[in-house]
Amino acid sequence: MKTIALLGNPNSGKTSLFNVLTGGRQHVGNWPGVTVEKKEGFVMLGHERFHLMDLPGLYSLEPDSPEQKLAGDYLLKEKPALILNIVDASNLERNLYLTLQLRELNMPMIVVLNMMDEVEKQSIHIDAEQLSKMLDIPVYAISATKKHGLRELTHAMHKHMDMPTPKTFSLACGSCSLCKKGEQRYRLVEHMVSACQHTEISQQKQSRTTWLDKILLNRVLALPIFLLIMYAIFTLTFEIGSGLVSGFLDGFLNITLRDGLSSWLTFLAAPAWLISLLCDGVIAGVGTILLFLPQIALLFFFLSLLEDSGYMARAAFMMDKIFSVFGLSGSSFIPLMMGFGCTVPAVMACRILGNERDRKLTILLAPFMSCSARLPVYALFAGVFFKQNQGLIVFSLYLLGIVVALLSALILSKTVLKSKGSGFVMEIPPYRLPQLRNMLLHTWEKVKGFVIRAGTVLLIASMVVWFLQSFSTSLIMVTNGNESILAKLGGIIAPIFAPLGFGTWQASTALLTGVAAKEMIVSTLAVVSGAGSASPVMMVSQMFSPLTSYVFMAFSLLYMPCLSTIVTMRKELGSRKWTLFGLGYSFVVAWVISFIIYQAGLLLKL
Amino acid sequence: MKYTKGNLYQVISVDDKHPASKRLVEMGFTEDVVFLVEKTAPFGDPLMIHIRGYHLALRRRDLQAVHAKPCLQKGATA
Repeated sequence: MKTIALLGNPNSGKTSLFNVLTGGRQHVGNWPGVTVEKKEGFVMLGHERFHLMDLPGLYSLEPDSPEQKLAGDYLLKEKPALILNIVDASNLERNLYLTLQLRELNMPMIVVLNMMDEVEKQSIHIDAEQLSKMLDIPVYAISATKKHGLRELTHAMHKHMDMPTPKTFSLACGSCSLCKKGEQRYRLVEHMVSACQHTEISQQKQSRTTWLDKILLNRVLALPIFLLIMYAIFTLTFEIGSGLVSGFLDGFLNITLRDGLSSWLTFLAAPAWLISLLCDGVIAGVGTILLFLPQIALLFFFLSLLEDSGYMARAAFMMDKIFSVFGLSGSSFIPLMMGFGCTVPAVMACRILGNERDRKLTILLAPFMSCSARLPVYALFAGVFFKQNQGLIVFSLYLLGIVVALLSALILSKTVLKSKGSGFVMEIPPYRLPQLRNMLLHTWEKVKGFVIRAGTVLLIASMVVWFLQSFSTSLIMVTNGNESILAKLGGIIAPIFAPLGFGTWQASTALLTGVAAKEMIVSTLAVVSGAGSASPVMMVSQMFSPLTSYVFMAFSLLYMPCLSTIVTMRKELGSRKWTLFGLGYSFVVAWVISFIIYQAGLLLKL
Repeated sequence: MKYTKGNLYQVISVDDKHPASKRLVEMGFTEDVVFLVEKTAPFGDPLMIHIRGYHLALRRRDLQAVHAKPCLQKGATA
């Protein structure tokens, strides 16, 4: 099957076009570098199926970051049948630089002028025919989000697939190494732009981006607004989310479903172990996690809003100076911010960092950002012990994660990952009105992933935990959890946590299973409490004090990341040594900080 | 070179020994181009530059690779 490769500058709309052409649902955002891995799909042209390849965006074929290298390497090695060069027509001059480089390869190629709707709004006219003549390859004008010009494009793609390679095209000065090719290319680009692009003289009204930036990037207001936005996202997520939870879902799950199923099964004279497995294992373990779906959905929705509007890149711009104090650059802000959603995509997004050392460091820090899977843990404990100021307590944990990440950056960049003075060069995209469909789609994909995980990994893990805590070492079903296999196992590692104030086998096993997935901490507590008392809430309130519950939350936040993250870290770091270092480091940090909080709390008689 | 917010500058040359030079040329800093220093971040660094019709965030230190002169007339490209 023949392959068509999508190439273009970051944030020029490659993934939007890819989704439109393939009917796919890849994530689209409004910051340079959303696509970090090549993505494949199929497109029907006429009666023939073609392979369509969405590659990470690049500014130049001489790239300096791993994800840009991927695109360049792919092109030179795989030799696709057709290059589809997506050009952001509202940013023609800079985009055509890569077009020229691609054109110099003399491979079959079509230039696609995307975002033509925005161009027209700005009263700019682009002569596609003229550009086509100058480049000596076909040029088509489209708008991928508005779905304009797509039929003509697909038609042309089919037609040009088997065209002979275009005429050789090279810069006037050939390939001598002395002259400056970059400068030469831009001279040619300037020439092309002045011949093809005409702006109407009519008084242009101030663009949306200009006036929004006057406020949002105002020297004085920028930071307060930034903090306000972060705070609003956080409170909205937590308040609305937990409102929905405690009211409706909880009652439904624990009363209607659990008690109903239990009495129905008893009525049917089902064996006791089966009732226990379903009610105390499955519903308690999986159901408790599903309670937090509203929060997780809201969080991803807001993150998607930040990404799509273009604010994320501006936040990176604002944070650069602070980050530079800690040996990082503003580019690290985006992956770290994504870490509030899920650490796995956050670790992958570190590929936007051009510099190897910055990338490594940011990967090691990402797990400290409190991901959405930690929310259930906070909600359970803060709900029991800090009813009055739940929001504040949870906010302090997020803050703790950030502070630990920044201090770790400082420590690591003074020791094992010395800074070589990395730079910060980042395109700031225009503000765009987020498309509701795109945001909902993104949120839905994340929620779906979460539900699938609850139905598979967490379901099995909950059943295993139920088994281990319902049977003794001689495989006899026990009524007292203290005689179970789990109690024995947890008892072995419990002494490690004793100095932190929660050296019980229940807490230890919860933390142990939490490595599989952080939500398992809550699942395990729910399952463990199921057989004995009534609910995880009651058990937690007996087993913890306000102080130890806070220490437990802090420890849950900071200690080892979950299994999926560990696997992703191993892949992205490309080194077992660094992965193990990251795991060991986070465990030690978690222990030390929890110890400090606990001892300080004891001293203050909290 | 000290860059001030709100001023236009014209590139004289890019120091190709500077580590950021390659990236800067790719992003459009070439001879004679006029750029505008649009904004400074809340803490004074980095700068937001308007060049070749788009916005670019850049640290002052990276901009040291660019030799430029203040330019009073608004150029066609800025």
